[in-house]
This record gives sequence, structure tokens and C-alpha cells, in this order.
Amino acid sequence: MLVPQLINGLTQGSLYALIAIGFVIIFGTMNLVTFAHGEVYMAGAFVGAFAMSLWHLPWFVALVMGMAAAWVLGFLIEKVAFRPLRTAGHMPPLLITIGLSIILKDLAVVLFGAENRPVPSIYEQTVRLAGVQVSVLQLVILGLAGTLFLVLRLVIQGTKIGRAMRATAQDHEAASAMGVNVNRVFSIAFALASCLGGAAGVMIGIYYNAVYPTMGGTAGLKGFAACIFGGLTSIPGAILGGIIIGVVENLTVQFLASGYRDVVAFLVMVIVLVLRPQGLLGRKLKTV
Amino acid sequence: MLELRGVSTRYGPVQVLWEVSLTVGEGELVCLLGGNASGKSTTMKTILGLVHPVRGEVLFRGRPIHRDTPAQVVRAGIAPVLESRRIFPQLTVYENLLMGAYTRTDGPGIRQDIEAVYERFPVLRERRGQLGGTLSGGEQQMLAIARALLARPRLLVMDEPSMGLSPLYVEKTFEVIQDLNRQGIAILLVEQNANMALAIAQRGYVLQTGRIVLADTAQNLVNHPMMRKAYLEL
Amino acid sequence: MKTKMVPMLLTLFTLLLVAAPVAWSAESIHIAVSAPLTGNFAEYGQNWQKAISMAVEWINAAGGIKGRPLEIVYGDSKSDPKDSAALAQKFTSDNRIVAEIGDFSSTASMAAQPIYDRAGMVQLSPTTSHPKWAPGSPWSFGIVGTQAGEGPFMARYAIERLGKKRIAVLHINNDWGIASKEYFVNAATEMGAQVLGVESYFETEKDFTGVLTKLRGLKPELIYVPSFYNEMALISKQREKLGWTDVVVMGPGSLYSPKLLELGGNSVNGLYTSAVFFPNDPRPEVQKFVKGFEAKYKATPNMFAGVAYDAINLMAETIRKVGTDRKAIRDELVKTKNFPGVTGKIAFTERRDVVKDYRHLVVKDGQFTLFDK
Ligand SMILES: Nc1ncnc2c1ncn2[C@@H]1O[C@H](COP(=O)(O)OP(=O)(O)O)[C@@H](O)[C@H]1O
Ligand SMILES: [Mg+2]
Repeated sequence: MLVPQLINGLTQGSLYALIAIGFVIIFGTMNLVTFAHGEVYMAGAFVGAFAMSLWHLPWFVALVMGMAAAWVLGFLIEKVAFRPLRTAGHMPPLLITIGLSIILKDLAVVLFGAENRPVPSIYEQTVRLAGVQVSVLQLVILGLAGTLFLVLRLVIQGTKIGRAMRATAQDHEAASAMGVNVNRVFSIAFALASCLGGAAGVMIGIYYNAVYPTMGGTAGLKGFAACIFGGLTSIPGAILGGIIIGVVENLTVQFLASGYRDVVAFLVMVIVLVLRPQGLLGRKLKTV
Repeated sequence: MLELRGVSTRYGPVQVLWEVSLTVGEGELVCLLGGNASGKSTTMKTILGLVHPVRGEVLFRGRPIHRDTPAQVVRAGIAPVLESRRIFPQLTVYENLLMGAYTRTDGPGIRQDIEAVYERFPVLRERRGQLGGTLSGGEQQMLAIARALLARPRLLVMDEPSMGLSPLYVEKTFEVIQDLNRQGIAILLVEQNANMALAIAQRGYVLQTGRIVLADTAQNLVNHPMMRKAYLEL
Repeated sequence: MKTKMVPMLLTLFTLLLVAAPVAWSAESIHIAVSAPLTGNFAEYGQNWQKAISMAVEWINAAGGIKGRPLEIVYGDSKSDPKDSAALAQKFTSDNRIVAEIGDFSSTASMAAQPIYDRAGMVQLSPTTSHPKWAPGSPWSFGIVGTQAGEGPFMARYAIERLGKKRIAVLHINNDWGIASKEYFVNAATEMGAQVLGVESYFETEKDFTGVLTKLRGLKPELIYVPSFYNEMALISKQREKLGWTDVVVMGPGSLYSPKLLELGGNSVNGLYTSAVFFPNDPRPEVQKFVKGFEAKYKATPNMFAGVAYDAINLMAETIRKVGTDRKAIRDELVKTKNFPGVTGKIAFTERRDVVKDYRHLVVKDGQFTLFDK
């Protein structure tokens, strides 16, 4: 049962990683933390769920719609909560995103009800790989997450806007002096981060067959933990952090009990941070 | 070419520049001198559009640019060499150069210009795949200048390019500046190192707590009693 | 003469009929109902209210209780222990009220319990199933059955009816789930089954892949899952996706809800459960209730409507026998041995709760059906 548990952990962890990367992109470029990221993920999940269960669209269309919706929502959040307060320090945007997260959650309760909303199953088959029975859906999710990591890497490393994002992250005044429209970069970074969160939301909905208004709470926390775990500003670190949290959780279920999964996952995180305050792949301090 | 007319700039409630006026002519090398916190960098940022003046105007080739975004200023032909170099430490040398060409869209032209700066600074070609942060201070300064050149500027605005460099690289930096100026690029050189700046500049301004207190030819400034007292005693 | 008399008599009759509800000669008998009419559990409270109103209508249409109409005083507790206690104060100090029905959850019922106990008024809860509840006061009664009865019933179902001996348990980690698990595991062990492992999950859990993978490693023939339809749907779907098909899934009557079928789809086919109330039950009292409810409310009654209907009828029957004295009602209620409820026969144990006759159910082609093998 160890190999199936590892696959469970890997699948779940890759979705945490997608959320975590969102925090990394936002923190990396803007030096700010958003508390509404979990709710953006929830919104993406709902759009994906509706696309599949109400409008009977294929899952990949649902995925694209969920990502698009999250993109738009992220774009708006940046405009409303971050843009006007760019020079106001860390606290005001933080408080605004806490408020936004509550509003979005309550809005979802009012609009959709507090109950689980079912998401249709896809890929219910399993395959045998090297003697182990593996769920096709898990493979699909792993493949999708991997693809998104790759695409993201290509965008950030290989495109002009990706380069502008990295430059802005390192020194936004210098980037601005080079002619980079820093506001636009922030907008795009926030939207991109949100879009990945939305993708994770749609996939989680499909994976567990349920979406619900409060789903962003723990997911946001886990994603944030994975981001800190991986060093706050490192995308590979966030991926590693997400996967470690996912795997540790499932091993905890296997060898301890289901109820301890979050406790052990956060405990491991605390231990890593005590030993390596900069996170797994983080640098000591960002030089400005 | 560049003209500041009665420019006043403030950071929130704190006014830093008071009616600063200066000009840089076509192909001219002008230095802006002044002690610490006198407002030299703020003057630069105002020109570059990083901050906007509350009063007065900045004209470049006859067109007001003081409401423009930094991108528009760069496109108009002004490129910055920022204080303490400010290269992007986690981008490669090559990527840093590309950032200098950020507002340009002419791919072949950019490649050609990168070749040209590699010719001028062979060390950058050698290190093109290395992260900017791993270069020595002097190499970073060369990169900062090269990056600015990638914008194909008519005017370079340089903020204390000699600061923190070894004497050898200070020497080299001033050579490069002179060289660029001889090729026809106008330069506004902000310096605390008044001796060396006045040695290569044609004209100079002296800024004191945000006001221009002296404006003259380099020669006259070197001989000015106030200058001798305040800035040239090394 | 004759021709004049007919319209006159008809008019008189009509007047009497129309005026009937207000034309009672005698004073009403008041029964209080403490229920969640708003809030999170409003759905359940409203089911009660529908069933009780219908029963009262029928009773009064048939002449009330010895000529006196029955009247319900509703109180909205939101199933919150603070509110149910406050309502208990209000009801017990109202001299017109002879007995109370409620509350919905164990917590709300038990918070009000000492107040009814001190005042000496019957508190009959249609739904409280905590084994400690009814024994807590001589004035407390429960008619929904307890896990102490359901656990052994389900164990017998699994072991004797289905012949499954290797069993694992996955339960929700709250008072109810723990009690459910205890009674089932104890009974199953006594009956000679092997309980291979017990796992639990928190109410908010949505990811069951880990815990299912673990249980699968134990190779059980049957997993018993004390849970609610929401999680059961997820558990079933995720189990299916993991390809774990060589196992029988069973859970207590909490799963008996159309929502389970709606949410679980194909994955809940073959799931075994039980019910105290099954609308397709051919017994006449059940069919009378179901038909009446459907005609009035255009919906099939569920278990919550069923137990509330039984509660009010049992109360009315008792008052019919002994009158409106609070103490007399209690003393008569205790003796109930053979009341034919729509949720089964009601006979109080000495703890003043009941051992229900559960129905064996299995999900077949997306429907709950009676299991009769
Ligand atoms: N971003 C800023 N916000 C507030 N005050 C600033 C800012 N930048 C510079 N100043 C103040 O403006 C004055 C001039 O600074 P600066 O232009 O950097 O001087 P210099 O470059 O001549 O040393 C200083 O008193 C400095 O503290
Ligand atoms: Mg300065």
C-alpha cells in the first residue's frame, strides 16, 4: 500500500504546489501576501464544477473556463485591493484580502449554498503499472500539473513578459526605469497566479467530486505552507514543498491516522523551518 | 536637447527639489554636482519619469516629458544608468541587456546592438550566461552602462557611476563615458567626485539642498572659490 | 313546508361546517414543539412542522381529543442549546401547555432536559438518538431509536444476512460517529466477525483516497461507514476511482436519503443501509401518511417527517387516554407498548427510548429497495 499512498500524496501534493506557486509569484513580484488566494481557487473550482455538471461541458473546457474565471478574478483583486495601496505598506492590502476572502466565501454560500456541490466523475478506470493499480484520473491530474509547471517555466524563463516579471521581482524601480510598466506586470503576475489557483480548484473538484464555499480555507493554508516550505520566492521550492506536504499527509494516514494528517504536515514544516529558516530552496535574504 | 524649467519635486510632504532649471545640449557632457542628499538622484528620477514634478516642466527635444511614464521617456531616447548600478542580480548578463532593450521591438536591431556592446565590453560576452549578481562591482558597472546603451539613447543620464568602484574601474568608467560622448551621445553625469567629473565635462551645475546654486563651464567651476572650498578639497 | 326546510337545513349545515374550526365548545389542548424552524437545520424543522400540522388537522377534523381541539405552540430553537433551554423555560411556565415535543439534535435536547425535568413536563424528542439522553430524566422520551439498537442490527445484517466476516470501519469523528462505531464493533465482534481496522475522519474531510488506500490494504470483505450522505457520496466515488471494487459498503440509516443517490450516482449502487421509515412500506398506516403528505405538500415525506408524525400522534393518543395532567401523561406514556407508528411499532424500554424495527435496504439501480434475501 506504500506505492499507492505515494501516488495519492503526489497527486494531492501537485495540486498544493499549483496553489503554492501562486503565492510565490505574488510574493516574489509584489512582496505581498494575499489571503484571498484560497477563495480564487474556490471560485475557479465552482466555475469548473458548473461547466461540467450544469452545462455538461467536457472537463478540459471546464478547466480552461475555471482558469479564465480565476484569471479575471485575480486581475480584479489586484486592481481593487493592491493597486490603490501599492505604497501603503504591507498591512492594508493584507487586511483587504482578508476581507475579500470573507466576502467571496459568503457570497458563494449565498449564491450556491453551503453544501457540497457534486462534480461528475471522469476517468473512473484504473490501469496496472508495474504491478500497481493506479487510477487514471490521478495520472491525468499529475500530467496536467506537470504540464502547467512546464508551461509556467517556459513563460517565466523564455518570454519577454516572464523576464519583465523576474526583473520587477528583483528590482521594480530599475525595471520601471528600463520601461517596464510595473503596474501591468503586477496585474499579469496576480492574474497568472490566480489562474494557476483556479486550475488547482477545478482539478481538486474533479478529483474529490465536490466543491464547496469553504474549500479555499485549508487549501489556501496548505498552499501557503508549501510556499514558505519551499523558500517563499522559489517556484521549484514551492513544487517540492507542495509535494512533500501531500506525501507526508498520506503517509501519516497510512502509518498513524487520518486525523493527524494536517498536524503532522504542519509539524514537518515547522521542523524544516527551524532547521532552515530560509526554506528548502530559498535564499537567505532578498537583496534589494 | 534636455531642459528642466523650474522643476519642483516632492516625496509626499517633503519637498526635495526647488525650482531646478538646467539644460543639456545636443552631444554635450554636463555634470550635476552636489553633496549627499542634495537632490541629485531625485533630479534624475524626475527626468526619467520615475517621479513627477509638482511644478515646472521637463522638455526633451522640445517636447514636454514630465507627465510621461518611464517607458515613454526611454522610447523618447533617454536611458538611465542608475545609482549603485541596479543591475538585475538574478538575470543573466544577456537577459540584463535584453531588459535595456525592453521598449524596443526590432529583434535584429537588438541582436546587432548586443553584439556591439560585447565588442565594447568583451568581459560581458565572456560572462553572458552568468547571473548579474555574480559579476564584480566594476563588471556590473560596465553591464549597467551596456544595458542603458541597448535602449539606443540620445541622452544618457548617469547617477554616480564611479561610486564604490576600484580606482582602476573608476578610470575605465570615465574613459567609457568620454568615449560615448565623443560618439555623439549627450550625457548628464551626476557625481560626487567633482574633480573627475569636471575634468571630462563641458559644463556643470551644483545642487545644494534641492536648489541649483552654481551653473557654469567646467573650467570656471574648477576655479570657483566656493567649489574649491566645498567640493574639491579631497 | 318540506321544500322550505331543505335549503334552510343546507344553509345551516354549511354554516356549521364553515364555522366548525372556531365553533369548538371546549378549550384547546396545547402541545409545545421546540424545533429548528430557521438556521442550518431549518430543513428538518420544517419537515416536522409539515407532518405535525397535517396530523393535527386530521385529529381536529375527527373531533379533536374528546371534543377539545389540539393546538400546537411552535418555538424556533434553531437547534441551538441556548435557544432550546430558553424555550423550555417559556413552555414549562405556560400553564396551558401539557407536554412538549423536541428538540432536534442531541445537544439541543439535552440542554433543555434539566428544565423540563424540574418543571415535570414530558419532553419527547422525535430525533434525539444519543444513548445517554432518555435515561437522563424520567420526563425524557426518545422514539427514533439509539445507536445501541442500530449498531447490533447492522452487525447482524452484515454478518448473518450478507455473510461477511472480515470487516473494517470508517467513521465520522464526532460523538454520534464514535457511538455508532462502538455499538457496531462490539456487536460484530460478539457475533464472531473479525474487525480488521477502524479509521476515522473529521467532518470537513473531502479527501478519502489516503484512508481508503489504507483500509484496502487490510483486505476486508465489508466496510462499515457511519457517516452522512455527503461524505458517503465522496467516499463511494473515490473508492471507485481507486479501483477498489471487491468490497461491500454498508452504513447506518443516516445514509438513507435521496441526496445520497443524487450525489453518489452509480458509485453507491450495492450500498447496504437501513431505515426506520420507508415510504414504499405497504403497511396501511404508512400509506395513509405518505398519500396524505404527498397530496398536501407535493413531496414524499422523509424519516424526519415520519418520526414527528409519530410523536404527535402518540402524544394525542396518550392525552385521549388520561387527560391533560402533565404527570398523568408521563405515567401513561411510559406504558406505551404497541403504538403503530409509521416508523415502526413504538414500545418504550425502561430507559424510555425504543428499539426500532429497522428495514433492510440496499441501493439497486439508483434506488433504495428492500433487501429481501
Ligand atoms: N523615496 C523617497 N521618499 C522620501 N524621501 C526621499 C526619497 N528619496 C530621497 N528622499 C530624500 O530626498 C532628499 C534628496 O535625496 P537624493 O535625491 O537621493 O539625494 P542625492 O542623490 O543627492 O544624495 C534626501 O533628503 C532624501 O532623504
Ligand atoms: Mg543619489
